[in-house]
Amino acid sequence: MKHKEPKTIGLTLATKPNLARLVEDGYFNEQLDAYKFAVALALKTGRLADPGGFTTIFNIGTIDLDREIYESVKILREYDEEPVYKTVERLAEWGVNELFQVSESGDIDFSKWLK
Amino acid sequence: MPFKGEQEVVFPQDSYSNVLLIYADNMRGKTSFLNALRWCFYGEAIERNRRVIEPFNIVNWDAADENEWEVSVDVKFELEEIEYELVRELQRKPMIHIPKRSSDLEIKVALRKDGKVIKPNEITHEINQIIPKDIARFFLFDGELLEEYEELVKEEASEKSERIKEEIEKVLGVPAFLNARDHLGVLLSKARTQQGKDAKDIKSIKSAVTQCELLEKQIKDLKRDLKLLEGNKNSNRKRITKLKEIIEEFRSVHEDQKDYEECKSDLSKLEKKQDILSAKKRDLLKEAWKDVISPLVEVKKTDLEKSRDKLIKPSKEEYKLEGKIEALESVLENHKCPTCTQDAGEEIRIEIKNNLEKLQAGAQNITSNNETLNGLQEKIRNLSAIKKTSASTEIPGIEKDLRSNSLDINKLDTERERLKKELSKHDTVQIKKDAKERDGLLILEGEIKTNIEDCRRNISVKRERYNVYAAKIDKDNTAKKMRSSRLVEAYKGLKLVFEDSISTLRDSLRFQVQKHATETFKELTTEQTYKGLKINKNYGLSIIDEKDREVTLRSSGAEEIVALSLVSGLNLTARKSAPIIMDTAMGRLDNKHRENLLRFIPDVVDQAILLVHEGEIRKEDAYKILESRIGGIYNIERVSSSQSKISKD
Repeated sequence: MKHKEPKTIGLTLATKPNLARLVEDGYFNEQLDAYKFAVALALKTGRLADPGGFTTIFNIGTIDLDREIYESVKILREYDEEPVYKTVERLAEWGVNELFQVSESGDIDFSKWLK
Repeated sequence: MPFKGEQEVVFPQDSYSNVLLIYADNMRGKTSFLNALRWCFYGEAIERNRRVIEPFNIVNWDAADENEWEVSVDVKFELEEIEYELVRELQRKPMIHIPKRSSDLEIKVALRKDGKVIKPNEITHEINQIIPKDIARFFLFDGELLEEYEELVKEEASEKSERIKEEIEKVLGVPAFLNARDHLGVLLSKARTQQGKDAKDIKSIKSAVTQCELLEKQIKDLKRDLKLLEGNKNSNRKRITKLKEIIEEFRSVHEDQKDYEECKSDLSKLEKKQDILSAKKRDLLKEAWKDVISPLVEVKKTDLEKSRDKLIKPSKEEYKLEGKIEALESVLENHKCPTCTQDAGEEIRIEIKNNLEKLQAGAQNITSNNETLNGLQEKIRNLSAIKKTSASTEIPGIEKDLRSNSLDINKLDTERERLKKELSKHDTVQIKKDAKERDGLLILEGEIKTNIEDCRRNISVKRERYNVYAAKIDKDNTAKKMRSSRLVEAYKGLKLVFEDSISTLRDSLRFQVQKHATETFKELTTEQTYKGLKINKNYGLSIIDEKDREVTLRSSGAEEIVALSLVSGLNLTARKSAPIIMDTAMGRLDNKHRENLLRFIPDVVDQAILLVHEGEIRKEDAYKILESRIGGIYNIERVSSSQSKISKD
């Protein structure tokens, strides 16, 4: 099914500060990197947040210039009832919260997700 | 001081059984016993490096913990049939509840002479009459003193050997003559000044008088400078010694300070390393999302490839089908078989037409499969573009290093905090300043020494020139008649007499010391071929062999025997009678030398108190060697790590 893709992408207001914290705490250079990692983590884990309530953080052109995320999510997601970037948002929402929670309980061990 | 409570030691009273042995293991209180006597007589307890122990540190720790601050040493002795009792007490000052420093304590001394109380201001003088402090070092001595005397053997006079030489001469009475000579020098100088004034109008020596006046003034200025420099040198040295003491006292603080700095530096290095690793990790995490989904991508790609492969097979059939359709269409169009060119009848053409319709329907299906295939190919292509980065191989190693560094950082941080806490109890800035000041003063000391040498050289040059001009004045017949000239002559003569006397006295004293020391040495040495000892100008002794050669290489045991011989020589030359108290003085001697020393001592002193440990001389050996010359044995025994007690064997 062909959907009209959004031009911007983001997180819920509740999760947005957590993304900032991941950078402040020195885990990532930029929020962009943390966001992409969060999407991948959610994809790997097969989890995603509920739709709705997202606010804009990035332009699609900034975060996915060569559409690698788009293609990956499009191919790897198990349904296509919504635009790909809407799925990306939901994946990121879950992933960012997961990374933040792990960071809160100690250091983030990235190695275990890279196996 | 390890002693708490009352301890009593009775020295041997029998002139034959005059050796008292006091046994103690290391750290139990042998040196403290020696110090107790030294403190009682001279108010000074000395630790290693000849450093005076603060009164506050004399008090036993356990007693201090119980707020008991009274320390008292009571010595009863007899000299020339007069009975003495000397008591020195240390106690807290009135109004001080818990002393915190030496100034919170006060010392009281009392001396009774044949039961008569001596006035406090006369006690020191009285003690010096009994045995002066400087001479006492030959009676109350330890291994360290022997080591100091070994310094004297060196031909080249060091500052230390000069100082020891001065001390020895002080003991032997040379300074009295030196003072007399110097005083005559002052009188001569005054007479010379007067002579100059008186001879001012004598034309023939006017120029000599002027030169003498000028040179005298210059010499006077130089002497003043020299005095100033020497004063500076002494105060500088005192300050260096004080700083060294302070630094030594805070050595553990220095070590802590050093450890703290090292800790800080290591921590900073590790934190930098940690920052570098973290930065590298963050850089790798930029694209690491690809590695996270890499397994999913691979699985998906494999699935897609399988689906694609399934669709590729029919595609080959499509090619064949197209050929068949073309052939059948040709038959229907030309009514002839394209292969064998036979005519195709109506019946055959109907059949072919039916077949053609079926084949065309099949071809339609294949076209739609091709679209799917293209879709699959695109997906595979897109997934293949998501390439794994080096993050998955590098990040685990980096994280391992980060964890290990983090542990080290925690350890170092804990250590740093501990050291910081420890150091906060001390003024580390002051300690650093002290060390810096000491280094600066050491440099200054070198400069002052050079200046002193220059000054002395200058004085000597000017003195020579002065003497030339002074001789001219002395030779002048008119000047000779002046009273001041006669005084000059008299003082010159007297000074010369004293100078010769000093030289003779020194030679005589050296000869005496050499003689007595040689006698002792011959008793102590196991090498019977040695002729004796030869004294040098610093009172250092060298061993002379049977061919009158100086034995240059000496073992540490031989050094000790020579030093003991020197002590004995000085002791006998100083002509004072007192018990000799030796603290662990046989440590470096072999059995034979030890035996010789033990046999020798009872014959040369009235009383000998030997503070020893079993490693030096075993009790059974002492009994065997000394037999009935032993007047008593005491043991200093451990009560606790901070307490010892003295008991009779």
